[in-house]
This record gives sequence, C-alpha cells and structure tokens, in this order.
Amino acid sequence: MSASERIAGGREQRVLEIIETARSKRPRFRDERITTAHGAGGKATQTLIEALLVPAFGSPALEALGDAGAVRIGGLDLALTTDSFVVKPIRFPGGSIGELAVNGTVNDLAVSGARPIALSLSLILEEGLETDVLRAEINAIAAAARSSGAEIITGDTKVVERGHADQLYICTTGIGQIDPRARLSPAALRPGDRIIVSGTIGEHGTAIMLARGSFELDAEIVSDTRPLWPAVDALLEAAGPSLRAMRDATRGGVATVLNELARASGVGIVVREADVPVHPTVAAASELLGIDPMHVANEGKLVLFVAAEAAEEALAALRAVDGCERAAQIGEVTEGPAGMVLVDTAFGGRRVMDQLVGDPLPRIC
Amino acid sequence: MTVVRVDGERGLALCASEDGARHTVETGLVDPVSLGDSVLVHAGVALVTLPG
Amino acid sequence: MRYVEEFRDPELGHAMAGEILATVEPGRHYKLMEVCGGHTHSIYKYGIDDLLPANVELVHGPGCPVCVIPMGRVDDGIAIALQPRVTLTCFGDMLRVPGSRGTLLDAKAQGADVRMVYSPLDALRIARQNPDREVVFFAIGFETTAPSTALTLRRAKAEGVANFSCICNHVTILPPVRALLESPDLRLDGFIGPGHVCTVVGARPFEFIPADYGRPVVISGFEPLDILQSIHMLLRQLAEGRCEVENQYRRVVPYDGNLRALEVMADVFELRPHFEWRGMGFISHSALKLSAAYEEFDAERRFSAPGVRIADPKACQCGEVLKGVIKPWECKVFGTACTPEHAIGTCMVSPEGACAAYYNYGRLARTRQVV
Repeated sequence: MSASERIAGGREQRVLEIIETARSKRPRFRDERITTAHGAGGKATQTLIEALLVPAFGSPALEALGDAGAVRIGGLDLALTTDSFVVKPIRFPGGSIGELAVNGTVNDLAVSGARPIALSLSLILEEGLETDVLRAEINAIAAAARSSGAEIITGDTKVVERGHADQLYICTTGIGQIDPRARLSPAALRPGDRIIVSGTIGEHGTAIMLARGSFELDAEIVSDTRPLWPAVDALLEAAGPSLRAMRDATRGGVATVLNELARASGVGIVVREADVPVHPTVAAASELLGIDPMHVANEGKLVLFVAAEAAEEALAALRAVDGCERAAQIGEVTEGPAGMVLVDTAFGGRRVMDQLVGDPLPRIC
Repeated sequence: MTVVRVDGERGLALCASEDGARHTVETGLVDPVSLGDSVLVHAGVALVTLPG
Repeated sequence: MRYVEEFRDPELGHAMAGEILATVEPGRHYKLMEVCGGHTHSIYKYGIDDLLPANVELVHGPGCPVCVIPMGRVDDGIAIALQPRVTLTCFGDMLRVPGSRGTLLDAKAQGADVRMVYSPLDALRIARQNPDREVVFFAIGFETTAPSTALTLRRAKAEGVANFSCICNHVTILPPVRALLESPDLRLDGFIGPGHVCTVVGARPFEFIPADYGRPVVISGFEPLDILQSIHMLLRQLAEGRCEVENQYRRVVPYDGNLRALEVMADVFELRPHFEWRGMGFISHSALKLSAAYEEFDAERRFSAPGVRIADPKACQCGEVLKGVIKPWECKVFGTACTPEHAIGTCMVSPEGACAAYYNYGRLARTRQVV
C-alpha cells in the first residue's frame, strides 16, 4: 500500500506555463471607467499604473516602481515620494488622517533607504469642515512631523464645495537623502534571501473597517501608524550591505509587497503561514469577515528582504526598536516558480498567495 | 462564537470569538441562549448551539 | 480560535493523510465530489490536495451560490440599482459578477448607489437609517443564508420598514445534485456533503443519494481535518461495501436540521416552479421567491427589471466546471482571457468558485503519490 511513483500532471503543467507567460506580459488597460478597485493597491491598481501611467512618462526612475523615485542632483542621491490620503473616517482608533499623511510619506522614503528631510503639505478642505476638527489634524500633522524628524517647508490649501472632499483630503510629498549604507533595489532579491516583517500585520485596515461601524462587529484593534526611519536606521547599521529591499506594506497588505518584489526580481517566494505574526483579535475579526490579514493594509510595518547570513542580526536589531518587538522571519526567496508567492499552510499543504484584484475595504489610507 | 450578552426581548445576542472580535447575532432560530454558550453563526444568524 | 485550532493541527493532518493512504486500493481511482463552494475554498486554501494520493481526485460541484447566478439576473440587479433613490446592497462577491454590460461595481462607477454588506441585517439597518432611500438587498445563497434573509424580512414586516425590499436569488442544494446524478457525463464515487447547509436542512434529505443512486455521502465540516476525515470515511465506506449517509460534522449538524429555520423559511419563501442555473439550464423547484405574505418586500414586484434570459458568452465553460466535468485549468479561457481581474464567468469571481480558488491558491504544479 505504499507510494509506488510520483507523477506531475503534464497537461496541467503546460496550462500553468501558458498562464505565467500571459501574466508576465505588460498589461493593457481595458476598463472603460475608474472603479474603487483601481484604488485598492491590488491588481487593478497595478494595471492602472503599469499600463496607463508609466508608459506615458518615459522615466527610468519611474519604471523601477519603488516606493520613492531616485534622483541625483549635484552629486547627492535623493529620494522623492508623494502620497495622497483620503481615509474615511478621518479619525480612527490609533490615529487620524494627519498622522497617516506624515508617516505614510516618511515611510516611503525610509524604506527606500532615505532619511526623511522635508515635506510639503497640500490640503483640500471641504466647505463646512469645523475649525476644531481642522485644528486637531494640523496638530496631529505637526506632532507626527516632529516625531519623524522631517520638516514641513511648504504647502497649499484649497477649499471645495460641500460634498466634494469628505471633510478633508491631504497630499504630502517628501524628500530625503539616500543613506550611503543602503544598497536597495526591488530587483535585488536572490534565492536564499530571508524575509522579515517588523511586527503583527493587518491592524490598520481592520481598525478602519471597524471604525466605519457598518458591520455589527466590534473589537479593540488600533491602527499601527508610526514612522519607520528608526527601524530602517537600525537595520542599515546592523546589516547595511546585506539588505536587498524594503517596502512598507500599505494598501494591498504584505501579499502585495511579496508579489511585486517576486515579479520585479524574477524569483519565487515561500512564506510559512505559522510564522506570520498576527494579533489574535485581528485574526478573529478577519476570519469572521472572510478576509486574509495578508491582504489588509498596514501603516507602520515594513517588509524586509535580507541575505541569509545577516538575517539573525537584522532581526535582533529590528526587535530592539520600539514597536518592532514582534518582528519575525516569515519566509524566504527561492529560485522559482518565478514571480510567484507560495505559502506553506499551517496545516501542512501548500498554496499560492496572489494579490487581490480590488479591496474589500476601500478608502483605508 | 461565545455569547457575552443576551437581549432576549429582541432575539439578539452579542457574541465574541475567543480573541476579542464581537458581533451582534440573531438568536431566534436556536433555543434561548445563555452567557457562555457557543454558537455557529452565518450571515449574522445563529444556526446551531454548539456542545460544551 | 482555540476550538478551531484543533481542527487545523498539522500532525493530526499528517496522521489522517496516512490513514487515507492506507485505505486506498492500489490502482483504483476515486472521484469524490465536494458539493459546497466553501469546501472547494478550504481545499485549496489549506492545500489539502497535497496530502492526498493522486488516486483520490476531488471534483468540484455546483455549491457556489454566486457562481450559479445567470447573467440576466445580474442585469436585473443593475437595472434596479440604477433607478432613482435606490440603494442596492449585496455581499462583496456579487460586486464583480459580470452581467451582459458590466458588473454592479461598474454600475457603481456610473453613479448607482451600490453598497457591500456582510448580512441582510446590515441592509435593513441602512433602510432604517435612510428613510428617503429605497434599500434593496440582492439575496443570494443556499439554505445556509436563506434563514438570515427570512429573519430579516420578518423583522422588516414586524417593524413596518416600508423602504426595504429584496431581490431573491436563493437556491436549494438538492435539485442540482440530483441533476448531476442523472447526468451521464459524470461517474462519481461519493459525495462530501455541505456541512453548513445541513445545519439547516439536516442530514435526512441526503438519504436519497445512497438509496436511489448507490453513492455514499459524508456530511463534512470545513476545517481541513474535517475534510480529510470525511474523505477517509468515504473511502472506508467504499472499501467495506457500505453505502450510507454519514455525519462527520456531528458536533454541529442535527439529523433533522433546524426546525425553526425551516419554519421561518417556509413562512417567508416559496419554491419557484423553475429557475435558471448558470451553465446548468433550468432546474425545477430549485430556487426560492418571496411568499404571498411577503410580496410587498419583493423587489421584482416593486421595481421593473428587464427579466431577460442572457446566454453565457460562447467562450465560457462555467457550466462544465460547475458540474465537475472539467477542472478549472481545462477551461479554454482559464487564466488567459478569463482572470480574476477580467472574469468572463462567475466561477472566477467568487472566492467559493472553483476557478477563483484554483487560480488564487492552487495554481501550482504538484507531484503526487500514486498508490
């Protein structure tokens, strides 16, 4: 009764190869209108960016599709990034739109290996917005900027009629100087590299969803918004040349980051489900709603790819940073299948982890 | 999920999973529930009271 | 979570996989159908196939309530959503199901007020909170979710929430299973029965499968250990020449079902004479509509909708996938013209659809043991 041979389905294998070829082609933008799926950070967003936006601008820096764009000016390597914040509601457990507006941009610089230096702040205010609410957000922005070490040096303000901005929208642009210790690139991953996350995942998106109160569901989960430069600084110090790439896992969650990097580097990734740190309450709420925490937005977590020999040190350095105590190694980079992210389930089977097309939780950042 | 509060008049219960997420649930389709009961819930309705 | 964790224990899983290996007859090929989309999803999500020898083939059945909705019904939902003051509510899966001219999500982009809810009770609350809107709930699901819709309608009636109505697309599980058993296309050895549907209807209605068609059934829970254990129980029945309905999900499923749920459903719903199932044609007495007592809440009466039967696109092979005749990857457009981003058919849209489950989780070359 023992196994006598192992077989692989030949026809199935050929179909899978055809599909991978189709997936690796540059997408075409086929939708007639923009839908909320295009804002979710998943596949629809990716297609919008890769098929409609990038081809129009002819910029190699843009084509790299990092969290920030790199530019060299007078011998200095600088990183530039921009982000808009349309989160609803504007206040939620653990923070508000003002904090996100600073931390989101500062973190895109940080994970590109750039120390945040300065920010611009653009406000679009809805007619009828209460001054007290605005004041509270301005104070939150100021506090977050101080905390991050970046200075707000310029800005703009517009007002639109009632009904056109959901209280307020914020756009921040940040500039930073790329740290000489950083040698990061999304295409730098090598088989054998280890993958680390800086803490428990899925908190921000879940907190927003619960704050919307549209579900009869209640749990104490708070957004994890925080600036990540201290964590990046510690990592650069402990393992600088061995760090391949870093991303902050915002819209689309950790799953999106892993898929994007696997594609950019042409490698495979395997994640061990049992090692992914998730707060039990987040796990419970997600299970109730049929959502995988790997697809849920974070606002203070980074995903790190590091050479195997430096992984222990990197992890130790990270865990010593405030807020990153639950950092964990969750998987590694493999030869293949190229561009694919696989999960070894806690149960012992193996499955694919793809990005979602849209997002079950719109407007989370 | 475990029942943490009962509203017998309206046939509702507040239920919680072990790790803290709480959910309002219709209880009209099962025998009256008490605090600490475990129920199987679908689309906001308790369909079965679980043993133990 | 701890209760659930026992049923996901990898050591127990391995032990069960070993017992399955020991029960399989060398050289024999088994085709077992899991009827319920929730099982399809679990099977791929936990990689259960990896723990089975190649001799045991899992065939996916039609138990995905989103998958079986024909395009014409989606068009009806969109037509209603586009009417003035209407707020259409539905489960998340429904948003990207293609009608003949786009999805509900597309309709939302065109200005329709379409909102996702997690239960019909959320929809009723929206109606209470927005008395100036006509709130319509697009109800889908087998007997598992029908009680929820029924209870919601009872509340709506008791509280006189006049601006609430429902487009009912609830379907029942047994008629398509019977249609599959009658079909010459398939030769199945046994069925993994739908655990949650059975909490409502009980195990009793499945007795006709062994009695009239000589195939064993095991009603299964949804955790990976439940599914493995159910597969083992089916293989043992086949090995021992038994043919009966066994209840692996005993901890949850009562033999007679939930009588109160059945009574509420009988009050609020009645069977449609026939209903079109995507890819399976018309099946009689397989779907529910609102009973006369609840007519006032029937959105199909309150609003006009085209009510037209739309043929599936020629390229679409959802019907064959739903009947388990072909595997998802055997569909000619799987993964190329039909992807989760741009789906031609419903099987690729819902997380319970076999194509979506395979594409999102199972799209992996595997080597499996042959006994």
